[in-house]
Amino acid sequence: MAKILTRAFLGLLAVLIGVYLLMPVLVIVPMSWSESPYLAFPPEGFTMQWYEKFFNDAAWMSSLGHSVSIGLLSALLSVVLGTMGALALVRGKFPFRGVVMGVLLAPMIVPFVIVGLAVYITFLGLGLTQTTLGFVLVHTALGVPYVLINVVASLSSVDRRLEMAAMNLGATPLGTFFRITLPLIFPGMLAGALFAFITSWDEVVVAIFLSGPDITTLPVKMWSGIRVQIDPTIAAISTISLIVILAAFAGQGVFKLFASASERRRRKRIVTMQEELA
Amino acid sequence: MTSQLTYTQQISQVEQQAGAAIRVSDIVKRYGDLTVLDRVSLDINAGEFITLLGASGSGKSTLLNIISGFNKPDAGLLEVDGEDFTRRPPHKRGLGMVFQHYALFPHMSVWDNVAFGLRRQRRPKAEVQQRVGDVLRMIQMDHLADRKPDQLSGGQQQRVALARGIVFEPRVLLMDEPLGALDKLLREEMQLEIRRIHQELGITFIFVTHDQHEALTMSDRIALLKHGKIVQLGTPKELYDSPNSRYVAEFIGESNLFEGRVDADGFVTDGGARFGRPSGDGSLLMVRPEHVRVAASTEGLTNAAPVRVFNCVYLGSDMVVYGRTESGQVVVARTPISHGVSAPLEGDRAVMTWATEDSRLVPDDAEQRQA
Repeated sequence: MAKILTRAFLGLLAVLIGVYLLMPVLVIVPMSWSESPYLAFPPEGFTMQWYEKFFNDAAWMSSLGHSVSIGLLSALLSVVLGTMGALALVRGKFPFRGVVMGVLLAPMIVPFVIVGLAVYITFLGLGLTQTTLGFVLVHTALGVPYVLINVVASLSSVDRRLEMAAMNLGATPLGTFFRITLPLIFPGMLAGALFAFITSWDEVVVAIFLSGPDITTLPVKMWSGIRVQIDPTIAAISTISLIVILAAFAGQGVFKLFASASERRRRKRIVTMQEELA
Repeated sequence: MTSQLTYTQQISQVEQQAGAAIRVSDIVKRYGDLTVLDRVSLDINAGEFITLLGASGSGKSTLLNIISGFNKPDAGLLEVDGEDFTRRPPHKRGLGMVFQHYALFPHMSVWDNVAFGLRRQRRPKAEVQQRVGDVLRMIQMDHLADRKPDQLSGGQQQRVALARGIVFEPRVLLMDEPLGALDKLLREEMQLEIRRIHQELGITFIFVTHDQHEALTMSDRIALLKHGKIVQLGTPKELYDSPNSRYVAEFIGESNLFEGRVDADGFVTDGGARFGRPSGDGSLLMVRPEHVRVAASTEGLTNAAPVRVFNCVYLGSDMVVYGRTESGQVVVARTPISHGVSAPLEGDRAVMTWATEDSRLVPDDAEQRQA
């Protein structure tokens, strides 16, 4: 009896925690189709007008475009630099590796306000504020730690002897990397890139310092928009932002499916090759 | 190997040989203060099966890695068929290798694993297909070509690793404890398989192991390493029958060793017993357990060590009797079981005896160092 009670209590607790964590989604998403001109929960009626409003507004569209391009560019740059850094840290032999790792991970811990202020002062002199390059540079620094953590983890589990075997069989060091190491750490790189993209997509604090009339990212535009007018457009944008992140994760899943499908095709090819030989 | 050619004679014969001759001269490798290889020199004949045998830390794997190119020596020279290989990067050496734990590429099928080397050499597609198919049939793995390594048993992975190492017809195949992860039965099967492949291909095999039994079974010659030096180099028979030091006598097979000295009438042990003087030099008398017989009395025996039996182990084919002399020396006898002869019981008095020609004098390690 006591056992059943404990189980029921734990179940209830789990559900409550789940609801609590999903609350923002559960509230925001329904508000985005409310007919009420104000942010209201529960929603009244059903309309797509706030989505229409968003997609017809040039200012919103420009910030969406900036967020997408900055996010993709900084994710790409993070994954290239982070992977190179991880390779050096795991495979390389040089002193103070722990210190180097610490410095590379620092952007995760240093308060964004401090980063933003420092970047703002530096970039102002260099003319990099309000430029895509400026955003990409900062967001790459913020994204690299995620790539680094993921790739260092997957690289540590790759047996060094696999790389030695490839070289022994005549693969150049570069060939060994692309044929052996890269395929084995690719899932780690992909996960790192995903986190780097989400970090950039979601980042407000540093972005506020770098934004201006010429260039704003979506979260900055939302933040400034909310102070001027509160209508359900903001809920519609939040929903879209959420969809983008879910799509990124789904993309990772699709990649896995695709990888196993191409694997099946390749197996078929080998079987036919053997039949030809026989 | 009865008549061994010299290294230079070998090189002149290279054209006809599938295997390469390897010369290791004064190789030194240090890690900080630790000297892992201490001026090691070794001539390996073309087509030979040589085993680098030693305990862990003896430097055997380091020597193999210097031959494969994954380790750079601090001093010394490595030549393959007369060419200087000392500084050549691993991917330009063209030596086959079977790694410890196989190191099969987990993201590739058996077929792609085996084809990897041929593809790096940019061999024509038809040739790759032909060769990979052939070698997979040779190791009886052709029906599993599309499997991934993690879907194979240990023995199957081992065979794939072997196939991958020989498919591109290297002149030398290096093997780093390739049988370590297999169970006993499979290991013995693979020993014969590897031996067969060696004879079929005629290339040079360099095999690293810490298992003296494996070394004795497979090798043409064995180089026994200790603390970065080769202590003895020779055929399995030479190492087993005439070890050049206590270390070799104890490492290869089991042995009874009596400390003592040679005088005019024979060999006197430190315990005062007197035995016949065998061939060899040194202050240790060695006799292998399989040459020791258990007798009832010392009467009429040249070599007799009275003992009290303290253990008796039945092995099916053999019986191992452990006795201790009055001076505390343990003597082991290993005799085939013959029905009708009763085994001694623990606590019995018995006499351990052997023929003088089955024993041998061995230098103690201190003497060897002086020599």
